[in-house]
Amino acid sequence: MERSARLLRQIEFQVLCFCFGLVLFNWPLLGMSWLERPQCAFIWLFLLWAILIFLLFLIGRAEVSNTAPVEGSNDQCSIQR
Amino acid sequence: MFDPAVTITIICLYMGLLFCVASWAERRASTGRSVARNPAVYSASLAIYCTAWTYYGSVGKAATSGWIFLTIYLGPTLGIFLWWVVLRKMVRIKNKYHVTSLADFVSARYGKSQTLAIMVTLIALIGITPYIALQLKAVTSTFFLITAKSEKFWLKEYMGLLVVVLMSLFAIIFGARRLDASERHEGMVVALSVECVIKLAIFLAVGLFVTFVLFNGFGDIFQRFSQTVAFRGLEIGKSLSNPEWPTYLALSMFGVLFLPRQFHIAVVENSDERHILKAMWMFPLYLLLINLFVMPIAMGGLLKGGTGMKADFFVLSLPLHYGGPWLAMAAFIGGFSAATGMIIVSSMTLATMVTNHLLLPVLERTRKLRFLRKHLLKCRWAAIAAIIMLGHWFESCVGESYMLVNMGILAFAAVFQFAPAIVGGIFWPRGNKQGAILGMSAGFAVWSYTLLVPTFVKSGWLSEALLRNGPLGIGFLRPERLFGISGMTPLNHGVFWSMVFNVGLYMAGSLYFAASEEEQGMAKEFMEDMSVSSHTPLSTYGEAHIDLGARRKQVEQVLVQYLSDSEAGAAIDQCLEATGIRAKTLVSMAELMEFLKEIEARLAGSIGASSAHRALRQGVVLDMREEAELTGLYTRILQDLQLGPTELRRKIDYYKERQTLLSDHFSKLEARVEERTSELVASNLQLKTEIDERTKAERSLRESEQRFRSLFEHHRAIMLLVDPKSFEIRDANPAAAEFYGYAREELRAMKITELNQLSAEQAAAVSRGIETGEQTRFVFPHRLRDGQIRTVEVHSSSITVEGRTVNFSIIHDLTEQKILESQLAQAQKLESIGQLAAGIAHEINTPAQFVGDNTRFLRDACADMERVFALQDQLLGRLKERKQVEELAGKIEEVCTEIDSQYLREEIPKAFAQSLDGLQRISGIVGAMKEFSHPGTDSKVCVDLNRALQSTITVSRNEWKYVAEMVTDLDPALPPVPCLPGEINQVFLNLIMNASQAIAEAAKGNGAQHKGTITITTRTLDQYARISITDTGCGIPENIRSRIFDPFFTTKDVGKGTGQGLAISHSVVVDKHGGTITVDSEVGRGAVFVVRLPLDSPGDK
Repeated sequence: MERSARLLRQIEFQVLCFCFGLVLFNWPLLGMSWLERPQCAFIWLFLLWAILIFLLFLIGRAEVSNTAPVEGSNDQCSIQR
Repeated sequence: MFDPAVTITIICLYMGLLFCVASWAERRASTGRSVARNPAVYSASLAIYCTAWTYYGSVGKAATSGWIFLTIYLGPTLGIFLWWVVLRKMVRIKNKYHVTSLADFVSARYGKSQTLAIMVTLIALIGITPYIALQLKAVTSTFFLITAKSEKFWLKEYMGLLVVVLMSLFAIIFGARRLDASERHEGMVVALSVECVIKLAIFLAVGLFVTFVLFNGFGDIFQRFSQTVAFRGLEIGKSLSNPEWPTYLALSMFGVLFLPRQFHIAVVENSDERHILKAMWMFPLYLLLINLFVMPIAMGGLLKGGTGMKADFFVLSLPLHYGGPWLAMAAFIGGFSAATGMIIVSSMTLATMVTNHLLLPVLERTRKLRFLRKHLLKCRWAAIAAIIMLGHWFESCVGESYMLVNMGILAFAAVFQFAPAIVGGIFWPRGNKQGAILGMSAGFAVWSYTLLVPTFVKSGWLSEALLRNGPLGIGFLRPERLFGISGMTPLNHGVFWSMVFNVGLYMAGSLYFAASEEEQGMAKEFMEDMSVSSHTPLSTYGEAHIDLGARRKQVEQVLVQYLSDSEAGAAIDQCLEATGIRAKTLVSMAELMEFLKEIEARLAGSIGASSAHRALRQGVVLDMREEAELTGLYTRILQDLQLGPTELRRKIDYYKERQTLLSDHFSKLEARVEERTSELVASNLQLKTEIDERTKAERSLRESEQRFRSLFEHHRAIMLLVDPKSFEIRDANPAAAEFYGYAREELRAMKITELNQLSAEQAAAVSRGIETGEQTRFVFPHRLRDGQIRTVEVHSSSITVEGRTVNFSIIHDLTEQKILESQLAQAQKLESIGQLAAGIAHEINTPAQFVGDNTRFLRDACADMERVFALQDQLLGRLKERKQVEELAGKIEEVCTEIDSQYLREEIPKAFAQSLDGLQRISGIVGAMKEFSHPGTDSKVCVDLNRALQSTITVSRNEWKYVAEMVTDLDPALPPVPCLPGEINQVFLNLIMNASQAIAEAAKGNGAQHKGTITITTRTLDQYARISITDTGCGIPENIRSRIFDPFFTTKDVGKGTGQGLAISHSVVVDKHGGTITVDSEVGRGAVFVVRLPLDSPGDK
């Protein structure tokens, strides 16, 4: 588990996911002929999208466990009118 | 279709709801219970990304261009993978430099450049104002679509204005109440998040309606659509290979952060950088959900005969035309939400940028307008209204033009021009102001030329020749084929060239021009991990000789240009405190510089970083000596360090790195402290609340105890507090002392068993009953001091006094009542006996009469017989003397004939027998009477109920014998029943007399000549003796059946009944015997009274 969390926390992994997403949602993968059928395209797009969101959820969870709360500091020291 | 007035009312109610939500959130924030500081709220508020362009436009785009609409949401999802790096850094920079807007952010990075701030503001203004117009257009168009009389309705002219006013008010009240724009607007953020949730919910509802109500699910829609001509024409499948696909992805990826409203929500309104982590999946999930039904709605609309031209409003028109008017109204509200969220935040952020970066520089350069610097907040309000108004004006001018329709993606392309300067500013240390100015201005110029100008042409405002032949006929400069490039779509073309120029010139300019030292410093700070906003410790270098008072005045003069006197004074005090020089009169150069830096950072929160920097540089001027001293200060620091320039740089880098690490650590610690502090504050609050509640409870308890004590001491009722275990009397009130004849102290030394004469076991059983609540009412004989025994009724309950559980008893002396009750019962009995007396007299009179007649007959017979006996005596004498026998025999014969001795011989035995029978009947009646009027006893005795019933039947015989036959069915095995015989007999008598009267009443009513029947049965049933008395009388109507046992309730004529009979019967059976008495009746058929008496009555024998 810890190893997975460490992997998810690495910036390089997040960049990799970004690139992976770009590939998935671009030509040539989207040019596959069977995707011309609306229902296939619908399933492909939304399923991949959901998988990416799940990945984002895992990344967020891994980072949360490693991060202390840092609140905006401008509340106390701003000039108020 | 809806009435316009109804629709406007609903809009106003909806806005009112948002006002309430925002006010509530602000009130919560002011009490430290913030709602907005929540990752879910932060994530939801980010969804203002989904404007009316999403809500309506996505469906339109899907209907005309297929899947391309999805890129606007897939792009952000992909970009979000980098948010923890990019957005977190932006949030930290915002926190450190009090960044208020996108322009401020860019300006802060590049040496607080005002030029850049102005450029960003102008680009945003030009790019976003038409986008606002697009939202207003969506609101007004859908309003007219949903209202039936919209074409004739006078509000047509003013609908747009109404929206403008509402939006302006909301943005001003919740978005610009304070000058410091870097402060979070919690009310507005919460209201926006609510709006976003509402629009999502409604869109999903419409999607479900279309997919599952109008059609049979996704498969059905896709199947049907695939068979239509429209599908082949649209070639939806091929839209995935649309050449604009990557461009859309890139534009949306940056747009989600660099659109001014998105920057404001994502960066400025962020209260905790950890919220980004939640938003990283919640926000894309929102985007996925809101897009799930876009394609089904688009296809559904087309299948239902809609055209691509009208597809924008399928979301509204499908529910409206296919039986869902209120769903259509909800859809309208959803679209209204989508539009208003964007308008409010965009106008607010644009207004901040306009006042800080366009208006303020003008005010500073124009002497006559300088007074307005003190009214910046009002200027911001005016700017908000002006921007929304500008959008409205734009919408009314350009209407349906090609330009407005395509403005959504053009706005994305416009803000894309910020990307090189911002991304480069964060990650490329060599990027500088000149490069940013060059790149951004070139990029914007190319954007205008290649994307905006063609839309003007297509809208008909410029000649088409410009597109066809280029400016002045130069084909090389054709806007959509710049430098002769072809084969690209206009959007790809425009974005490509604008980026080529933007990035190229940004990099080239940054490499060519050298950055100022200040800018280099800022660049390095932007590159670092900005997790800390701590103050650098003050240097001890330099002599403290600068008059702080004079400097303070200079700073004050700068601040009062923008703030009120009191605010300026407060701000200076805060900064003096922060730099630790508040108590000093003379400060060193190092301390002065720290102070000025602090002031600048704080002023930046109100007027932007570049304006604050400029204002302080102009307002606080160092003289020659101070400048020399500043130079000397840095020189001395270097000398002290004894380092060469390279070594110094290396050391600085090392210490900066170390400082960064320490700062990071410090930041985490500070955050933890803050977290703990907030926890402590929360605990403190909770504790305070608990203390308050406890104090209140204690006060209430004290008051309650006082009330109890007062009642206890002064009430005339007898009250005792008794220990439930030892039975010791804990306390007795004065009334108790008076009643029992003991002093209170004496009572406190006694046990309750001394008064109630119970054994310890009985007392314990009573205590248990009180404790469990099974029995709280008792009747005991209590012994008084003078030996008197009084019957008392005790009501007890278990209470806690001074932490101890005691039995609290209120005692009521029943002795007098018992006597009265006994007298009443006796009176009733006497009444019954009185009632029976005539009948009994009649019953006794009949046998008495014939006993008398017989006796008289026997007397006369005896006189006659005396004559016979005299003669017989003579005969006997003569027989002895044997003389005149015949003569005497003749006389005897004569007398016997005369007195009819044969008759006498026959009748005399009969007369005796009759007399004996009569006497027996009299004796029976008298016996029954005696039995019936059994002397009252206080305790129950075992009684043969069959016999008791027979007695009662006998004494009451005269009451029923003329109207009814008496049938008895008495159970010979009925065991003796413990009861009060006199009172039970009274009950039976009452019931029999009632039965007899009911039969007589019935006979009178229907003129019947035959008698009725009274049937009395006894049975043993479980642990009860069941006695039923059934009559065939007139019955009891249902409406009075529940009242027959009430005292004084009677249906008889006045004087014929007191209404006490059944009431007393009920009291005797239920209260005194623990039994039941019930009645069942049918009008005209008779009634059955059933008495159940317990066979086992503990304690009574």
